[in-house]
Amino acid sequence: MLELKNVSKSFKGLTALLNVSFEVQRGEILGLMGPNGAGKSTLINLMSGFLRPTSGEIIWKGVNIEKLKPYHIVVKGISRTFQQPRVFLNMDIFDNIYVGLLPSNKSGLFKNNNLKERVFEIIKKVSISNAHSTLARDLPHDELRKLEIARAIAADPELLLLDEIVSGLTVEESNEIGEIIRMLNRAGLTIIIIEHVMKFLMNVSQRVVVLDHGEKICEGSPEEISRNPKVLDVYFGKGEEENLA
Amino acid sequence: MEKHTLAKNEIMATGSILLVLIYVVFFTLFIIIFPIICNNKFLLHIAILANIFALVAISWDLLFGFVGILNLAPAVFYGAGAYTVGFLTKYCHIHPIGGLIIAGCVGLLLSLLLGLPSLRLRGAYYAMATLAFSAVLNTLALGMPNITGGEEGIIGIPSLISGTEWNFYFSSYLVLTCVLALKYMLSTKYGKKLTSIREDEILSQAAGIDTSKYKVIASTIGGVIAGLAGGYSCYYFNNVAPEVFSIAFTFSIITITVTGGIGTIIGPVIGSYLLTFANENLYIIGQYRLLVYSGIIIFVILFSPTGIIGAVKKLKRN
Repeated sequence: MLELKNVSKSFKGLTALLNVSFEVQRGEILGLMGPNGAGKSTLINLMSGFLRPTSGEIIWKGVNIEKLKPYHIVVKGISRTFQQPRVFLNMDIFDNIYVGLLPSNKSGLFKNNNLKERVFEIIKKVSISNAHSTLARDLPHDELRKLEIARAIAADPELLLLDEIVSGLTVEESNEIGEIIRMLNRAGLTIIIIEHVMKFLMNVSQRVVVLDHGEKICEGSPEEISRNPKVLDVYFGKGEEENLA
Repeated sequence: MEKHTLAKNEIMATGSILLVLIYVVFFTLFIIIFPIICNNKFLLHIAILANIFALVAISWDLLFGFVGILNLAPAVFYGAGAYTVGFLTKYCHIHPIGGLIIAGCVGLLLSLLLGLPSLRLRGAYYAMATLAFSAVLNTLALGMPNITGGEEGIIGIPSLISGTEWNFYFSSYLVLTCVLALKYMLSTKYGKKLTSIREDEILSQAAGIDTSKYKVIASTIGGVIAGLAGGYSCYYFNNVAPEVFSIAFTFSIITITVTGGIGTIIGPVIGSYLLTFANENLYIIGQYRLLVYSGIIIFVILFSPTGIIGAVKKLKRN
């Protein structure tokens, strides 16, 4: 569905990613992990069009998308969230999701059709408990994260990129987000999760790609990754026997 | 429960339409009756000035208040519209209606010219570029006296409409039409996209919005309104001079919008009436008027950053 072929990215001579290649299959949840500076966020920025690769190809359903603008990539079916919670702070929950719906809605400039009903559907889907008229800036952190997901899925994507979506959340809140992710996946959405919280990533992902210093060091199932000596070395140093899981 | 919420929304929407209709009828009647009650040509003249300023302020508000583009040269579109009418009348003897339409078109073209760099330049850099553009036009207006009339400008422009009352009607309905059209547009999907760009341009792109396209469209609409205002002012004053490109004019427009309420469309109209009428009483202090304007901006930013409209909304909430 999405294929990265030898993708590299340099910033003024500093290499952030070097020849990274992997594929995402339709309907899977792929985890991307790695320590700070591994290039995870750079990768998500490349896949969503906010950065262009220095070299390599990003192929979405057989078409190269590495030169497309972010809004164009959304229309093509890839939506994302951000590492720091990013919502329209001075808009209410309803409008945040409503804005997310607009690009995928082709009902004409001045018609609203059934968009209102769709907003309420999405609110229910991601279990936002605050009133839809609550301003985003007044929301607690966990609701902000849900609102981010809601805004992202409003575009009706086929692939959802989640950048550290449970960062700053409690275990219970993370579990709730995990359930939402699984539910979206069961409904047919392909998902890539970038995460620092390894336990969460291992629990939710079906397959994991590990990056270190901008290079892919391995990929496999969560069980395989948790036993991989290279991964143990990156996270705990040489000789460490502790299991990631 | 959702159905109840939806039904409530529908009722509120119907209520909003009724409210808008009441406003429209009220203001239409008010505009018709005001000259009869007022019976004072000077007051009507001030109201016409306020309407002209309001149009330019609305166009600036659309750009800054809704898309977040800081254009420090609203005078450019206004001045270009005014000089267009001046040139067309002096050199082509064009019919006033044609002149007004072309003034709007020139505003459109200039806004495209200035709008495109806004896609690359950000914040203060774009603001400085617009300010420089304004200075260039001012210099051209002064430095080519054979064509532009120099300091004196172009004089002897015939009126579009004769009679203060009829000018008041025309300018007032122009303002009312612009306010209603923009208010409607901003309540649609297009308006939500514009507001989202002001809130967070990067997030808007991530939400699938072609921010460049919408910025250029907003810039173009603003340019047309300001160009029309400039063209009309040239017909109303029967002349055009380089002061239309002055920093003082730009400063007045920003003050009017900030005072009325940024991002409200109706705020600039209120600000314009308030400050234009106040300004008439400040003529005795000459150039120090700029100091008073600065004082007003500082006062508003400190005590009511959302302007008069914001203060009224706050009072309503409390």
